[in-house]
Formats: sequence, structure tokens, C-alpha cells
Amino acid sequence: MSKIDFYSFFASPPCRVVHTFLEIAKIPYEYHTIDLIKVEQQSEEFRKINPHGKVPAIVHDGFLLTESIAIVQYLAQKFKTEDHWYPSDSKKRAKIDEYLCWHHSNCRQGTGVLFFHVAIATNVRKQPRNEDVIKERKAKLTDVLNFFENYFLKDSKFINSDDISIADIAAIIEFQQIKYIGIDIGKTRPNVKAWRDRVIARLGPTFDTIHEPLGKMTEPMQITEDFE
Amino acid sequence: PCRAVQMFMKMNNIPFDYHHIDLAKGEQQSEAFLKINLFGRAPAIKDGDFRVAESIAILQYLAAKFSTPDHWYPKDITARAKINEYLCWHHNNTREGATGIFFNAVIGPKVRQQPRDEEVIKTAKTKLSATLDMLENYFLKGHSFIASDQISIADLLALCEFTQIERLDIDVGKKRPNVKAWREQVIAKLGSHFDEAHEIIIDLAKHLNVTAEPFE
Repeated sequence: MSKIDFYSFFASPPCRVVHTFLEIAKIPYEYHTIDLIKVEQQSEEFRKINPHGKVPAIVHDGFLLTESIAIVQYLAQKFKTEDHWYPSDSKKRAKIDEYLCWHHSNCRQGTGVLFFHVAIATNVRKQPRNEDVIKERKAKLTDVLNFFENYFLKDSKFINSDDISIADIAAIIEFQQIKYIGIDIGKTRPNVKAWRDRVIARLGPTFDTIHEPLGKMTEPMQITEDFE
Repeated sequence: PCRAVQMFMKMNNIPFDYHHIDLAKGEQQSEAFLKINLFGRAPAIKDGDFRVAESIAILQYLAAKFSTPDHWYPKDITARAKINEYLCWHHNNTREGATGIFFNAVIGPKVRQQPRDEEVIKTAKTKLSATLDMLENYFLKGHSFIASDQISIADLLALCEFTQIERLDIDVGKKRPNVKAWREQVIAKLGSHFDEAHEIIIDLAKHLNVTAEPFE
């Protein structure tokens, strides 16, 4: 099977989800940087590859696919990765799919938008802080973390499962970005804390390597955002 | 989302007991229902002791469990990936635009007695417009159905979002011939199951005296 052409940028959490899975599942790929800060996703050259002008995107044997979750589901099946990543048993898979659906309108909305307003809007785009939006997103994050603590991780070591899956990768990537604005998701939630530490340990040095550029970008900002 | 699951089960003769959860009365937050689905949202299913929430996950599970005809959720990895691509995109696009309009133009003012938030409605309309453009120019380009030449769960979910806002006289196919043709084909495929699933929403719209909402 030929390798994956992977179009990505370090600052995008969905890109980091795909990148993490490619690495951890040892899927052969070539990384093509599409610099979102320079708006390269709108370039004529990239639009020829991906008319949507979006990242992450993969091209595999001429087949173009976007949407990070759809990409990792494809990779897991196409490259026959270890079953726990995306179980073939219909009930186990349904519980992973349940999380992956909920993720779009919940986890991402509580973390990505918050990170954007606290770090990017103010520090990169030099816009004034939008306190209303930040407050609203923190409330969303509280709800999300409560669901993690009391439902997804209540009776299992990983999200709806006893072994790590693509659901855990999707979630941890979202939560890791807000670490860079000083938010500790495990501060008052022991299940979340244990899960986070377990997932990061399981992903190993790959996880740190993938986050290095984000760390370098946010370190000078010195942000410590209040959150319980 | 509830209608999509209901029509899928009817189309595939999947036996089910329907339990009405009155969202207007807040029954989705009742103690009894929260034991079924901690998210406090419909739809949800219980198959023996096994519970699944989220309409897309439910449809994916039912397609696998009941070995429904392949076109609903193809086993071919590449074909499935294109459907999954739509299903991911659906949450923050189709659903956000269409439900954003319906919620803020109908449920808010007419059920919850809240004033219309024109900014929010305008944003939702912009989202809907962008969504319909993507459907017209990408997901339906060269295909009779979303990313496929046959109907799938993606079509059910998208259609149900649009039939909701049709109660406001919003015609999604007005300026988009691919969307218009697609809508007609999906409804034709669904036949009487479509009419049956939509009775309640049609009655609700009449009862609430829903009026037309401008949209181009």
C-alpha cells in the first residue's frame, strides 16, 4: 500500500489528531506543511490538491479525504491497525462513535474556541479580549469535563472503553491545547486526571514531539487563565 | 435527528418500541430518561441493556447490527470514508445552520417566549447558505446523493435538518439545482415513511403559527 500524503499545520488540533494517529499506528506518510498563518490553505497550489482549502487532508492513492475523524477512521480500517484503536465489534465501536459524534459539538466547542479567544485573538491578532465569549466557553468546558468525569470515564479507563482508541486521541489533543493557556483539566476531577496521564503515557514521546511547535508558539505569551 | 433514526428503522423493518420524550416539556431531563441517556438528549436507543446516544452513532450501530442493505452505510472503506466525511462535517455545518435558524426563529420566541436574537439568526442563515453551497458544489457534485450514487444515512440526517426549516418556507433547493434534485429523490425513496415521520412537525408548526422566514 502506498504512503499517505498528509497536509497539515501544527497549530490545528484536528491536524494534530491525525498526525498523532499516523505516528502511533506507524502508518507511512509524508508531511506537507500548509501554513495557516500565511493562509496557504487558500493558495492555488493547495486548492488543486484539495478544492476545499482545508486541513487536515490526506491523499492516498489518488483518494482525497478531509475531516480529521473521518480520516482516522479510514486509516484505522485501511491499514488494519490494532483493534482497540477503532474496534470492529459493533457494540464497542458504537460507544466510540457515540463519543466521536458528541466531540464535535461539545469538546471542540469548549476547548478550541476558548483557546482561540484567549491565545490567538488577543496575542496574535491583537484584538481585545471578548470576555462574554470566554466566560461562555469556560461554562461549556465545565460541562464537558463533568461529562468526562461522570460518564465517559466513570466505569472505564479510557473513553467508553478499557483500552485506548481514536476517541481518546481526539479528546486529549483538544484538552492539551488549553494546557498552554494554563488550564489543568484534572485539577478538581480525579477520573479526568488519571485518564489524561494514562493517555499521554500511552502515546509516549510522539505526543511531546507533536506538541513542541505549539509550546514554542505559546510559551512567550505566558498565559495563565482562571478555571476550576 | 430523531426523525432520521425513525425513518431508517422503518425503511429497514427494524423492530422498535417508540417512547415519546416531549422536548417542549423538558422530559429529556427527567430522572427516568437520564438513566437511559445521561446527555439528556433525544434520540437514544436501548437494545437490551446496551444504550447508545447520538443519532449518527445510533444509525451506524443499527446498520451493522441489522445488516441493512449496504448503500445505507457502505462496508467498502473508501465509500464509507466519504460518507463519514459528510457525517463529521454535518455537526458544525448543516445542523448548526438549519437548527440555529429553527431554534432561534421558532422555539425561542414561540415556545420559550424569548425575544428573537436577530444577530444569531443572521449568523445561522449565513451558515446555512455556506452549507448549501458545499452540498451543491461538493457533496452532490457528480452524485445523486451525498457523496454516493445511492441513498445513505447521510442523506437522512441532512434532509431532516432541511425539512425542519421548510416549516418556515425556506426552500433549500430554490437556487441550487443539485440540492433541489437531491431533496426530491430522497423524499421519493422514503415514500410514506417520510410523511409519517413529519406529521408531528407539520402539526407543531401549525399549532405555533409559524410564519415564513426570509432566506435566499
